[in-house]
Amino acid sequence: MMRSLLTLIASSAAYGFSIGISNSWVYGLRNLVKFPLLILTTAVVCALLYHVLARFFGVSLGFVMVQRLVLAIFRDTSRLLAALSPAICFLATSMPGPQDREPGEYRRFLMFNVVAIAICGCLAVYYRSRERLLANGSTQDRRPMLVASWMLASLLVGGQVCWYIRPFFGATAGTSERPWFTGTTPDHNGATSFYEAVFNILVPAYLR
Amino acid sequence: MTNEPNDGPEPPTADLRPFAHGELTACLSRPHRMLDVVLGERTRLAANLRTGEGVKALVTIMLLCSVAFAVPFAVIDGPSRVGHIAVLFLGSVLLCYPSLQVFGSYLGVRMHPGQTFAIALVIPSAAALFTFGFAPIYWFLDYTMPADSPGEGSLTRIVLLVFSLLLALSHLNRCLFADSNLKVLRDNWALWVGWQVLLVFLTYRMAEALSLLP
Repeated sequence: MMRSLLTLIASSAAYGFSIGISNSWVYGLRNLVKFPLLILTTAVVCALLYHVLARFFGVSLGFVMVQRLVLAIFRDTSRLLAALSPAICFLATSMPGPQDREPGEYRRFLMFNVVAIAICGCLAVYYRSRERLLANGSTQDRRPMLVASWMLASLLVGGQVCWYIRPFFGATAGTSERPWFTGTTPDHNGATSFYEAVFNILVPAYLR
Repeated sequence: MTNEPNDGPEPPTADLRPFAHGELTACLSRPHRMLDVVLGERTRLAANLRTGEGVKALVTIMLLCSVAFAVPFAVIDGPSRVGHIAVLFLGSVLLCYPSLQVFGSYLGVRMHPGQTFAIALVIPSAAALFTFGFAPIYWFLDYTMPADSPGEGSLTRIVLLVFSLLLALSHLNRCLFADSNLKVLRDNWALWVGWQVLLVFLTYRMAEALSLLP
């Protein structure tokens, strides 16, 4: 488990650095801590729910084993993302700096990363849901549903963790004077939480 | 991707034995076992509900579970509201239980009152376990999101409580409907659905009375 944890931290730090460098060295270096923090905070906050959901879906694994499996999913996702780091680093450094770049360029980079995270997450979930350990004690094959529920919980909590400890690679230039965590400070649309920000994206302004 | 050991025991077949009295009372000394009894092994729980075996111990366990596991979630709103979540789920079920028993008897559901009570208690105990799982998430969201209305119900709390109740209801239904021998309630589906609607409505009013809603 310790080895898995160290791999997760190293891989997520590498990916975090590669996205942060798109903005500045300051953000790149900060992300060495912030990205592993994002994943570990999500895993810790959701730990009890993962266990309750495992019992709900009829998988009789102990608390530690459940955490180990969830950690394996996060580790696989981080490792896949880390494998993309050189490519992302190249894209990040070949892109104009925050002062010179067009808004469309930042959005494309953001979208590329969202798609990369989604693909890596889905791959990790798919392979881990085939884990035979997960079938232990299960009378019906509900593994995909269990793993999907774990990931849904992680997404909903992880989104807010991400919001609270942002910026990771922001649209504006990052300097060492800027705070590490923006916390509940409203964004340019006035959203103060991840859920509000998603709502603002999904619902047009005139309908709000 | 496959560093973790993939070898594990083959999935066992479902255990259809009801929980023995000793297994149920063991939950008093090892509370984490309540998770297995209420949520984990639903075929065995359904067997207890069907046969009425160990129903007194089961009722005791589920009453304790409904109160104790609801505390961590409730305490996030402050020490003065420590019992609110237990009252919300357990109180609503206690208020609705007589209607289930009386209407059931009237419509030909021949079950011992203790059995019906145990069936009803699956809802608050499972809901309490889900709130237990949600408690760290609620604390985290409460801490990182600005309060929308201090002292009043927050949207986060409402969403998590609604999820807990819906998951608990789905758990009870799959317990009852997974067991082919538990036909009495399945045959009277109108009673069963009607009672659940009544319970959901009463829970909503209870949440209003407890100031859990904005």
